[in-house]
Amino acid sequence: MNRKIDDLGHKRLPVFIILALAILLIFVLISASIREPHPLKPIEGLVVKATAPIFNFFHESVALVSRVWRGYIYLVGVQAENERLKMRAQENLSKEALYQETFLEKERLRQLLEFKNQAALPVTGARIIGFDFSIWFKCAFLDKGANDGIKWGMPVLNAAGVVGRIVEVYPDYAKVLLLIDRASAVDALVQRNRLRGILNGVGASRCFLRYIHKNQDVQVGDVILASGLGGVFPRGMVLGTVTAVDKKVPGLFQEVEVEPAADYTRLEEVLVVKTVQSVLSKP
Amino acid sequence: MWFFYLILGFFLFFLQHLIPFPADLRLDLLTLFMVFVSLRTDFIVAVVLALLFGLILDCYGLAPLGLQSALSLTAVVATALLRRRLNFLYVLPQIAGVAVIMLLQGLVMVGLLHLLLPVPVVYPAMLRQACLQLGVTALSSPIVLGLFALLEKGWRRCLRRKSRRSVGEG
Repeated sequence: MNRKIDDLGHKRLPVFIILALAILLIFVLISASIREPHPLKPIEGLVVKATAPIFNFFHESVALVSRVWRGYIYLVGVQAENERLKMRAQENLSKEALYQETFLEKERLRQLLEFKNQAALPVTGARIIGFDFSIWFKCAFLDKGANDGIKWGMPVLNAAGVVGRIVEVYPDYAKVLLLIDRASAVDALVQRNRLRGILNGVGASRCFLRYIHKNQDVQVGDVILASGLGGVFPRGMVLGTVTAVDKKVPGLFQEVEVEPAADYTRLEEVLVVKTVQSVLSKP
Repeated sequence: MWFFYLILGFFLFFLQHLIPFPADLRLDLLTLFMVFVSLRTDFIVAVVLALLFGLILDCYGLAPLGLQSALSLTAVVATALLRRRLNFLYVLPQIAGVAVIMLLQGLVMVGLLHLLLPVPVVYPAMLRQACLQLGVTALSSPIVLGLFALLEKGWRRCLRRKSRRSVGEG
């Protein structure tokens, strides 16, 4: 009798049956979801739709506690900060006039040169509601979806530069493939000397600029921009900065390590560019 | 206790994205949650929760559906097997047990990814992160599991008080 009872107090047969069923279910899920297009995609949408409000509730609760703490309880130094900000506001007023003049001059020059007006890209703001925290994949979830005009392939930016691109769209949510994911590849160029390469994610918090020949000049600190040739990211958007260059690696090309411009550990709000037409077709 | 485990799981899933850990140093709260659930409740409940939270993790990530469920299930099964050899009430067995469980999870993940993806899956940077995650999670497991136990105790106390009040009213 004892042999039929395990340490959890269950009969062994049901435990094995449950385990076998669970493993079978996992293999069915995996095999169905790696097919293109996979038939379980509606389930993903349903799960996200069902669980996102719960995470939003947690998010709002934490934000409320944080607001109450910062706005009503932790007010040390607020008066001094207020004085300092008033002085800075005065300084900024005079600076603003200067910037306005410079901006108008830039607009005139750009019209003369018939450059594409990239500063007026139609964008929509979105909030990041979750990340894939695993070390194997790097993606984020936005609180805007197809109902807000988000489409597959649209680039996602923040003030620092490119964040990634939309890879899945649900009615109210969208999934962003971050630049640092292994599946991400962007046609890029070095700002200083217009050298072209492919910026690849490696799954960690860094990217690598591939296919730069060893005799070509890339230096630490060089800014890497989107070339616009992929048809996804607007030309000239900042992708990152070169942090290391290794020419001793075997092969034809040097190894150029790039730190992405966007800080993925502090990403909260992003902009989705809504007009850049992707030349790629959705798989 | 179903409801408590469900709320705790959802909260940990949320928290996992909130804690600002330095330089990708991450504490795998959901694996610790699976270990805790396996230690405290029925095997069936633990398996169902593992599948549920695995599915949610996959839906919020890039992995194909079922991959995270496989990892959660590995944690549940490994805990059920290890508890025969290790006494999870003590600190050192807890640390060793969690380290072994996370090692098994890593092997399962690498194995499945190797089968599923046509590109190489293991990079030195990833291995370094995986080792850091393993170390941080294993070393902090006594504190985290203790905290879960305290929360569970508080929840039980609340339920008991509530049921006593309803009996009194009756």
